[in-house]
Amino acid sequence: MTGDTGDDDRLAGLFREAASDGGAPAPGFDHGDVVATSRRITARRRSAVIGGALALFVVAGVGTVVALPREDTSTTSAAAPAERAADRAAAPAPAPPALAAPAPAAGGGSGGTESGSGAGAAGQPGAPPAPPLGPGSTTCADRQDPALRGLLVEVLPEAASAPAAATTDVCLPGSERYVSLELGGGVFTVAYLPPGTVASLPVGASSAPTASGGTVIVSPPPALRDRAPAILQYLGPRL
Amino acid sequence: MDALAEAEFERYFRARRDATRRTAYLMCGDWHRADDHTQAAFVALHRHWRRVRDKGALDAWMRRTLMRAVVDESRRPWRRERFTDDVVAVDKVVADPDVTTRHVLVDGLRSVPPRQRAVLVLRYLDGLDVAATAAALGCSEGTVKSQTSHGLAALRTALGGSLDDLRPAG
Repeated sequence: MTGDTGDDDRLAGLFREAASDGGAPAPGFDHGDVVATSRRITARRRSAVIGGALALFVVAGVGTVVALPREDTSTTSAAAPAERAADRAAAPAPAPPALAAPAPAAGGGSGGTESGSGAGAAGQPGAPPAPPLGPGSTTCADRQDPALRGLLVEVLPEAASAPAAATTDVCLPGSERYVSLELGGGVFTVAYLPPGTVASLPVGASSAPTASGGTVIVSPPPALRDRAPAILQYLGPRL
Repeated sequence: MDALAEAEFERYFRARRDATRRTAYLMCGDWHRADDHTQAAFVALHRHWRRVRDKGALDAWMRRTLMRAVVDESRRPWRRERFTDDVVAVDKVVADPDVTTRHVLVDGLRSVPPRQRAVLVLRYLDGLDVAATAAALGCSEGTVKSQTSHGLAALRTALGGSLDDLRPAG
């Protein structure tokens, strides 16, 4: 049947007859319907494309904000080592320490020995004293102030390799300085408050006046409390 | 789309709507679904009108779009057609003197698999040769020939051997 031309013609006639629309319902659409549907689909797709692009932009923006480490956030970010390295690089050149950091087992703790041979004390007897660091100048206080950390490392060398502790995002006055480190089995915090600022000391913390008229507060974990007086004595003239 | 292109599209639509609708009807066996498929094909054509460079190939483009839409729809789970070994009860139909060729053939076509049905419709309703049918369906000419053979066999089986007795009305 398939190869016969006569059969093909007869089949074509059958198909045409079967498809004749004599008794068929009238078409349910017209040119206007087609154009309207086409325009609606085009507008919807255009909206979807624009919406998708905006969503992509927002997601990329959020991803960038999350991925970029901030100095005052958790220390568990992957950028913490780089941050610490940057802090060390940004720290001012070590000034001649007025007080060598006493070793835990050194005893005495009276200080005042400017031997310059203490651990981590890079004493330079002839160097002129650096001006006190004084208040900060940022909008919000730096919770991991590199300059303050540099000073702390001079008197507490273990602080150089200590990871930064988690801090909050609360905006404190920019004239204040803070360093919070995970050290000695807890959080070791040093705070500098500018002149005129009154703060209540947390439990275990101690404070001392600074050369700029402010206050330095050291809040060490229990294992490092015996180092607090020496640290205060070292930082006071430099802040 | 500018006014000139809109006018061109409208001319083409007016000229080809009924023929396309008839092809869709033989493909799906239902005028309402044929309307849906035809409208969808024309909507697609309207959306691509500016990109159609060869206006002489519009019919082929429409055929390809329509066939793809009908075959794809037959594969959707809620419309999936089931083929059985049961033969359509054409004896009763043929015995009825009022029955028309249309109903007999459309009923028979429903039992033919969609791809084979598409080949039969393109070849015997639209009058395409093997090459044009292959181009419209995106397959080889050998496939068209085998699908034609299998399709006619399936149609003959569905009609219970009464196809040879059918004659175009009038």
